[in-house]
Amino acid sequence: MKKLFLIFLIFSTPIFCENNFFKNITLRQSFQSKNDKAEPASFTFTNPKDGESSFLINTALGINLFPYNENLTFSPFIEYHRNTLIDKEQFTYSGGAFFEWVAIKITGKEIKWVPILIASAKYNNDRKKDIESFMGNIYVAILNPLSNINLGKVASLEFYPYFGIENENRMKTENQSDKGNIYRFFLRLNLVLNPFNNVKSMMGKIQISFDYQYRYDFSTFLKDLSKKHNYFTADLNYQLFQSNKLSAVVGLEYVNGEDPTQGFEKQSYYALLFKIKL
Amino acid sequence: MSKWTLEFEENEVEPLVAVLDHGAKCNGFQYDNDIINIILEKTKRTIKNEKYIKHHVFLILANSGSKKYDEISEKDDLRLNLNLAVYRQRSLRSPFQKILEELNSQNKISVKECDNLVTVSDCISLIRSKK
Repeated sequence: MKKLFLIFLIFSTPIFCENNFFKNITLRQSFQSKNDKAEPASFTFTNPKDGESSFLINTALGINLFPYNENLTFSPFIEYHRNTLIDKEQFTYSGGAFFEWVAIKITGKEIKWVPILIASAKYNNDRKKDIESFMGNIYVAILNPLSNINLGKVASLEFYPYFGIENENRMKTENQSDKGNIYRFFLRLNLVLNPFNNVKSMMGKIQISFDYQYRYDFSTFLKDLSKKHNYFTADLNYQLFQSNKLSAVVGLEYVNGEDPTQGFEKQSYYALLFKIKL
Repeated sequence: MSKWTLEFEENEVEPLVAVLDHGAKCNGFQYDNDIINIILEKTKRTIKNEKYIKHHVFLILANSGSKKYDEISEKDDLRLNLNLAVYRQRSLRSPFQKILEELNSQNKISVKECDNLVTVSDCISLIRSKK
C-alpha cells in the first residue's frame, strides 16, 4: 500500500506546483465508470450486540492531471475495497492510471451521439485470495439521446450503455497453475431515475439507479470456473448535503452477483450506506 | 478618525447610483478627482460586469440546455431543469473561460469546477469569483 501511495504522489507532482492539488482530487467508489457518472465512495459499519462488528468500504482516490481540458482526463488513482458484511469476506486494493477521452467536442445541443473512450491499467492485490494481478480495460460508453430525458415534469431518466474488453494477468497466486491471462468481454447498462422533479423541496434529493454488468471470459486458463459473470446493483439514494465541492448521500443498496475485476466472489446483500463524493 | 462601512444588497446598488448621479447633476456638484466619483465609476463598472456575466451565462445555457433564454432563472438546476447532464455541463468550461478572457481575467476554470456546478446561480458565482 505504501508503494501505491508513493506512485500516486509521484504522478501527481505537477499538480502540486499549480497549487490546485485539492481542487482536482476526486473521491469516488471506483474508476470503472466514466467521470460524470462516478458513484460516490461508500461506507457502512455494523456493531451487533451479540456478535462481531462488520463493515464495508468501497473507495477510490484520484487526481486529474489535465484539469483544464474538458475532453481528456488522465488520473493516477488508488482504490481500497473491503467488505466484512458477508460470509466470504473481500479485501482488495489497487493502484493505476485512468484515462478518458470524449471523442467529439460537445458544443450546443445539436450533438446527440458521442462515443467516450475509457481505459485504465492497474495493479491489483486481492488479500483474501492471495492473488496479485495486473488489470487493463478499454470501454466505450455512448452518450445518446436517452442519456438524459424528461418524463414530463415529474421525473427524468438517464441511460448509459458501456461495452469493452478487460484483461487480467495473474502474476502471483497461491498455486503456480493459477497464473496466467484472462480476457473478458464487458457489457454494462446503467439506468438512473430522478423522481419528484416537480416538488421543489425534493428536486434532486432522491435518486434510484440500476446497474447491470455482464462479463464473459472469452480466453481463460481457468477451465473449471464459469465463464459468465453477472453483477447487478440497485440503489435508492437520499441526498443529505450538496455543495459545489462535496456531496453526501445515504442510500439503501442491493448487490447480487460477482465483479471479478474487484476480486468479488458471488454475493448477495442489502446494505444501508453512507456515501461521499468529492 | 471614524470608519464607516455601508453595505448594499445587489438590487439596491443600481438605484443608489442613479440617485447619486441625479443628485450630482441637480446640485451642480463637481465629482472630478473626488472619492465619490471613484466609487461611482467602480460601482458602474461592477454592475456592467455583473450584467455582462449574467447575460452571457444565460446565452450559453440557452444554447446548450433545454430552456430558452427568457425561460432560464438563476434558481434552475442545470441537470434537472436544463437537461445539462452528461458532459454537457463539462463542455461549459470553454465558453465560460471566454467570458473571463473578455473581462481581462487571467484565472482559469477547471473541468472539476464545471462538474460540480448545480444551479445557474452557481455558474454566475463561479465566473464572478474568477474575474
